[in-house]
Amino acid sequence: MTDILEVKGLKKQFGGLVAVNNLDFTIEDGSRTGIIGPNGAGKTTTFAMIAGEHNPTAGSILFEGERIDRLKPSVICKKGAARTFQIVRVFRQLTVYEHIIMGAVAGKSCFSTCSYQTDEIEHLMELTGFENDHDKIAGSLTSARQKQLGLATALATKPKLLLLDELMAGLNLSEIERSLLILRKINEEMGITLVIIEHVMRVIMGLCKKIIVLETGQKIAEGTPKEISENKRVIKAYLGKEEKAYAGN
Amino acid sequence: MELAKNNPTLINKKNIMIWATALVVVVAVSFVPVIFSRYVIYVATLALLYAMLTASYDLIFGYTGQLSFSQGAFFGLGAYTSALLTLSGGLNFWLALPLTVIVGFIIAALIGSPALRLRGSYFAVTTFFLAHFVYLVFLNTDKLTGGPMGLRNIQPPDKLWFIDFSQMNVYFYFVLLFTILVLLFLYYLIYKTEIGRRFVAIREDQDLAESLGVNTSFYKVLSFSISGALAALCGSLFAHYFLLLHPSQFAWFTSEMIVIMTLVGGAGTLIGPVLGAAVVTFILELFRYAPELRFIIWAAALIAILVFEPKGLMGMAKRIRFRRSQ
Ligand SMILES: Nc1ncnc2c1ncn2[C@@H]1O[C@H](COP(=O)(O)OP(=O)(O)O)[C@@H](O)[C@H]1O
Ligand SMILES: [Mg+2]
Repeated sequence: MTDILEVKGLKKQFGGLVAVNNLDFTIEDGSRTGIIGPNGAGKTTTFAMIAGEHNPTAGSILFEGERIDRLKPSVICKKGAARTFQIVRVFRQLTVYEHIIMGAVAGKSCFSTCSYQTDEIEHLMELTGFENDHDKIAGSLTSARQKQLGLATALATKPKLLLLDELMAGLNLSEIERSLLILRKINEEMGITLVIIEHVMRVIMGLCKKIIVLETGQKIAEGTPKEISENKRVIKAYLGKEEKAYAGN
Repeated sequence: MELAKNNPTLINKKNIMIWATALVVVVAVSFVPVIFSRYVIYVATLALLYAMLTASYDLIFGYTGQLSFSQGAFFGLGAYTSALLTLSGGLNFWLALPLTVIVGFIIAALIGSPALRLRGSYFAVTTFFLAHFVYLVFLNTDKLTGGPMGLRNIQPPDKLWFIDFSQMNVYFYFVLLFTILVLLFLYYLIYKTEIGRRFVAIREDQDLAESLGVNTSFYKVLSFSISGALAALCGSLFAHYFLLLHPSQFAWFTSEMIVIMTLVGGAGTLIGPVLGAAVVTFILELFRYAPELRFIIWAAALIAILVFEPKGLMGMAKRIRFRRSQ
């Protein structure tokens, strides 16, 4: 298997604060990877650098073998790397249907009309559980649903790699189960590579083949769920205080 | 039906009603020169010019979400460019007009590219000073613009076949035609092409739009440039109607007025700002004989609107219709 993403010596400094330091990892094409770590570990900042929102202070990011650090988010999205945000972000005044279409047309360079496939949008809505919400206003959804809408819209850009930042926060147990099913489908049927940041351990452990653990900007462990759950350093840094990390979120 | 399916909320019964109403208004307005006095025709022509100007402003403010205070400056740039092209350049009006639009587009693009890197209030403040700068240029380049003496002897548009544009009635219809064309152009841009969606995406959340693939810096500049080009078009039509230009016509208050007209009508509705412009122009004319009261009453009314109906006339219409349907 080839690597779709390769991060080498990545560093991000905000003023005096080093948010991410000397980070290396690779993501295999078609895989499901989890990133965990306590609040402030630098997970979101890592996503922001991959997606082009922040320029790295040092290091490089390769997507399909090509340098993408310092490119604009829109360019990176067009290359096939999409993301959702940890904080809820939606086009509040649009309907759910228009919102998802936005994902489909946003990156197209054409100046012509209606360059999206209606049936593809409908299929996406069904997949993500929005099939009965065409005309609902995005701003009126609950914040958990708004995050799911973010997922549907990101999918509409037809990504090869999808970065999901705490997508499940605020969902109840049955919603988490449904969401897990959706993510599996996205990965297995649509062949999209997933990298997810999540505090819900069940999700990470159940879904991911590989887990990367960050603490204060550095990678402290990497491995299968089993390896991670037995790693002393991880337990000390993170798992032992899961309740605390969760509550502080 | 096909389009209705693709655009569930953009083209629906509500919008058809709005455009039907607009059609009725257009037909009614087109009778103005037949029925009313010269003075009313004069005010109506001005109202149409402001309606066009405000509609063009709604593109950058209402649809793309960038608050700018420089629309009056582009209006002025268009007026002076067109006047100078015909006066000093000796060009035919019908050549000067499209040239003016192109000049407006290019200047807006040149200014917008750096300025639109700023966000929100930083951009707004920049455009405010930009507008003042343009005003100072009009005022102080005596040799070119006549400075505080203004520009005189601007001629009405050259004859086109047998049509004589120095006639007030004719000019009214001429401006009406342009207003409708500009509105249709904006309508097409906003609703029928994917460009309009990108403008709206930027207004709703620029970072999200960018992350989904919208080249936000490009589309913001595009919106600003089209908006500026149309303002320049209005300026040209204004210059060859008023026949006399003075820097004060394009001072900061003109830009503010356009923002106010948009708010009165309801930003981001296209037809709202048009109505807002018409209403405001007529109200200001009503108070013509009490100039000292004019702006006090006006300011009070504006505050009242923003407090009680922040979505303007269109918001009010929507609420009334909603109440009726219950
Ligand atoms: N834009 C920013 N400016 C300054 N500091 C930031 C910024 N974004 C994140 N940080 C800081 O960087 C550190 C890592 O944050 P973040 O990546 O959000 O952590 P995580 O997602 O793992 O909780 C935190 O200390 C945070 O305060
Ligand atoms: Mg985070």
